[in-house]
Amino acid sequence: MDGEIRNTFKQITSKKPEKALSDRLILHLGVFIEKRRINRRITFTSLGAFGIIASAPALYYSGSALIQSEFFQYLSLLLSDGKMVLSNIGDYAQIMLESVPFMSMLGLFVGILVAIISIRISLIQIYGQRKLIQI
Amino acid sequence: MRKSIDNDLIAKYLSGDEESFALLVRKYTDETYGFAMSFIKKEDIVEDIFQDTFLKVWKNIKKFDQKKDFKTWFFQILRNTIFDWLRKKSELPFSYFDGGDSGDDRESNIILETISDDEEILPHKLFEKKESVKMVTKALEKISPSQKEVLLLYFSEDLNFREIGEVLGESIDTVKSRYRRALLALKKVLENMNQMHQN
Repeated sequence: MDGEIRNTFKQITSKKPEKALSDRLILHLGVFIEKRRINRRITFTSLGAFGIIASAPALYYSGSALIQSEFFQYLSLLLSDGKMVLSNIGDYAQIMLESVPFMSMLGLFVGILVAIISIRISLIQIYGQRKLIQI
Repeated sequence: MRKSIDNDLIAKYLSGDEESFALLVRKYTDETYGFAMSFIKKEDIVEDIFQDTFLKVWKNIKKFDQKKDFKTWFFQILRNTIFDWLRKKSELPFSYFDGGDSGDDRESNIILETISDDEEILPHKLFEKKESVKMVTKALEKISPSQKEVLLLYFSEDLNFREIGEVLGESIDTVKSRYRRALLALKKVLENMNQMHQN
């Protein structure tokens, strides 16, 4: 008896789709996936470009501050008159520490890091490739 | 067997073989089209339903627990999409789609408690007739969608009560109760139709 009931119900849901329906569904899904990837590429490439542009002034000002600081002058002293520096190593070390433009160096470091990450993200978005779903 | 084939396809897709997902789409479109059509009736709407369903499947495929059955997970998404569409288009109250059985019918409760075998509920002779498919199709339109889906999932799609529970997000006991009430509701409609036919 259960067999007859099942048979009846199976006939009720026996209708099959046209073959082209699956093709259309796969195509639609493929288009959606590709659109989503393109949107992501645009978003991340834009973020990457913004990061590069934003880091440029930081690099410039940090670099300028570093160059204009006394740090390199004292560093050149080590190279030109090493013996005198070594005999007063304690004072020299203290002067060097005081002259290091930490904020400028930090700004420079952060700027370089942001620029590298931004370039990497942009390159991945531009050149990263995945296959479309094939029919 | 079915579970291992589906899980193989999913594993291959997650490893980068996008053709495997296309195979899943073809397989489940073919196998569940009749189920969707039994609720929606219009081919263009069913196509939209399937597009939404497969999109949801794709978006959540990485979260799918491969120890579970893909078929029940797919049916869960498909029936939710179907019922969302039915709710949007129907003027019937939301409660009509959820459960469809208040349990307030004393007569139903008595019958349910006294019947030991579910198969006794439905009129046997009707299913022996040639026109049973037509009659049952019409009768299914007269019961609530939630009762109809339990019967279709059980008899057409060969899911057991535990699997139906996973699809519906209900306990096994609730599913069994809804199944029995659905059989009762179908029986009433079939008997009425049979009586009208004889008159």
